[in-house]
Amino acid sequence: MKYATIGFLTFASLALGVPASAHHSYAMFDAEKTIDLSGTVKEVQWTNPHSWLEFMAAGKDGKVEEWSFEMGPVMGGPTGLNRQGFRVKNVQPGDKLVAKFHPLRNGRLGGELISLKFPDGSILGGREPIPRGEAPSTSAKPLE
Amino acid sequence: MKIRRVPQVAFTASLLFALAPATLAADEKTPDFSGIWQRQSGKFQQPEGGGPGAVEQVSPRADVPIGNYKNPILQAWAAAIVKHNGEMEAAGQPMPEAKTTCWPGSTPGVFAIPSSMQILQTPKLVTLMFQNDHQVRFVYMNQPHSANVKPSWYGESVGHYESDTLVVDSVGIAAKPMSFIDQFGTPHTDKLHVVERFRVADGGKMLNVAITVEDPGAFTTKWGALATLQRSRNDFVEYVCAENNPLIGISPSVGDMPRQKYTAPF
Repeated sequence: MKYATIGFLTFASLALGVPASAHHSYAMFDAEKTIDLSGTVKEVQWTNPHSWLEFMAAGKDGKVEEWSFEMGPVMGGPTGLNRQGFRVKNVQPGDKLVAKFHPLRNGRLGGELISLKFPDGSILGGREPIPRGEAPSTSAKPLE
Repeated sequence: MKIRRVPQVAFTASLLFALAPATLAADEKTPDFSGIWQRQSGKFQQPEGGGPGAVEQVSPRADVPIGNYKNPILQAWAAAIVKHNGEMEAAGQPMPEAKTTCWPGSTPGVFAIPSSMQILQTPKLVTLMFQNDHQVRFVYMNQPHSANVKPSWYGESVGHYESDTLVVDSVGIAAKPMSFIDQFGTPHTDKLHVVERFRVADGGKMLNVAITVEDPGAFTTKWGALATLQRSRNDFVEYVCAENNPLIGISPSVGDMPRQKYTAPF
């Protein structure tokens, strides 16, 4: 996660679907607003429970800057990234994608990632969490 | 019998090496809690037997937890903290309490977080292992509490079996500035006394934890809650709250809130 240019308290959180309660609140994200932002992947930080996407994109002023999107838990739980189809190979530095996210309420460059759209139109994420009562998927595979 | 304590990490490591590959299976008379149990949400349901329940959520979204500070179980000072936490959340600032900032989650707060749990049963000791931050709670079986329990994050838990139920009684849970009972940052004092009754239900698919909470320093009455966990086939994954966590540095902004002074000597 990058603090330097973005400043203190830049968060991005991923709600692939609406998260059930997590270990921390998502209050810092504006759930009423959804933004689509085209840009390039700089880095993916696969850490559990806080994984991050560092994304180079141009804001309203046209200047390309680094955005930080929190992606939430990598594995485990109903909204774990692995259960939404994410694998390390899916998202690589240099990939040109459209990030859909709930922005930070404090206006800084970041937000809660909802989904990623690829040039071919396919979308990663954005699905509802697996409802309670359904059998969980098979044992979580290690990220490839 | 005097309860022996050893450093948590050393004990766990030595215990795991000493045991056979599988958990020490319960004998025929002991209920079997083996397996992985997944807590899907942090919500406390109403107690099965009725009566006062936990503070309930009033926010429309579960991921912005705001509790009902008017719940009659709360003494005034505790209600003020729940209200303050809710106001922070509504303003876009996650409340600063233990689970947000990666401090330990004792009982019943540990069930206020989605996580997975395994129960390791041996005759004299039952160990509850949690995926989140590799936390463990030790339950010393078939013995009374110590005469003078020194308060600690996880307190002192003693337990016994009643037919198909594991009954765990916990006291000595230290009241720290970051302590929490539930998703809403409800506080407690060091007079907290928690009884948990673990029982496998629904044909083996669910683990129900019936929780009873008393704290004459924080609550107006004894109250209860039900925490349910689902049997899972997903192994534990590594979960390190402190890693890449932007919230870990926030500190409790409750300086002007009336908190019960805790009596822990450290």
